[in-house]
Amino acid sequence: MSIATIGTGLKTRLDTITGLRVFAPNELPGSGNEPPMAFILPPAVEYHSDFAANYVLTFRVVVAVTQQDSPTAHDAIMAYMEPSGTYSVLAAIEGDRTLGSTADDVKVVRNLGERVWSIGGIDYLSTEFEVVVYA
Amino acid sequence: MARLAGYGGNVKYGAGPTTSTGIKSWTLDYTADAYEGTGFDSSGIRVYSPGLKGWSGSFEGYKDGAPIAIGTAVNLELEESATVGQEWTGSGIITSVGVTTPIDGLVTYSYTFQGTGTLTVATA
Repeated sequence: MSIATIGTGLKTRLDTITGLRVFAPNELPGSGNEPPMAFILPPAVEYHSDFAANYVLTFRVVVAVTQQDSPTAHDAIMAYMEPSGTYSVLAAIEGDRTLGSTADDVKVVRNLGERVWSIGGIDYLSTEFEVVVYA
Repeated sequence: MARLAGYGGNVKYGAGPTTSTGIKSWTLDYTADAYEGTGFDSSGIRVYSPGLKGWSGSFEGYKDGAPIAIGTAVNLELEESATVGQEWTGSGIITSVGVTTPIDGLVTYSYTFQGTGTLTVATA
């Protein structure tokens, strides 16, 4: 599978989170839209993971919640960081470990905590996930 | 002469033998015994005669289906690359299988084999 196809498979999984606007690596916007938004950034690629020339992709998924730094914004961020639940990024992605038959397996490795992420010159309260895909 | 990166290698096994999947490394040890024939007439220096040859090795990689059963006799083709002549071929018996399941990576299988009979050595 191509990297773009796998990115789209990842988007399909994140689309299962109600209200989250998801952008695949091949459709990233130049500026922010209406949050909450998830941006799947082009991955780091480890080639030749075996003799069959399979590869390992490490995606960064940024979830931008709001421009406001408020208690409700922090609560919203944590809902995406939870290992399970309606808004759990981990549960959504690992709910189909083949990402719609585009990959061998996927693992949400870690969340990098809360931070400010700038999109089109606008700062958003955000959180970032590292997702490893074996393809 | 040129150095060779290993990523073009391969392991084929079975009746064909056919290409395996998920394998990422292999090793081969081809050895010859040396029989000592040191005697009082050796002037204080050990002397040897060539003896029996044998070969064995291992391969390992990611799980991609059920493991190979131990005790299975297989034809083996251990390729250094896809270039003709850069392969070692013979028949062997799978003598062990090991499984590793890490929390931070993929499940891997590792196998050892005992070669039996002739080993065709790489020529290129």
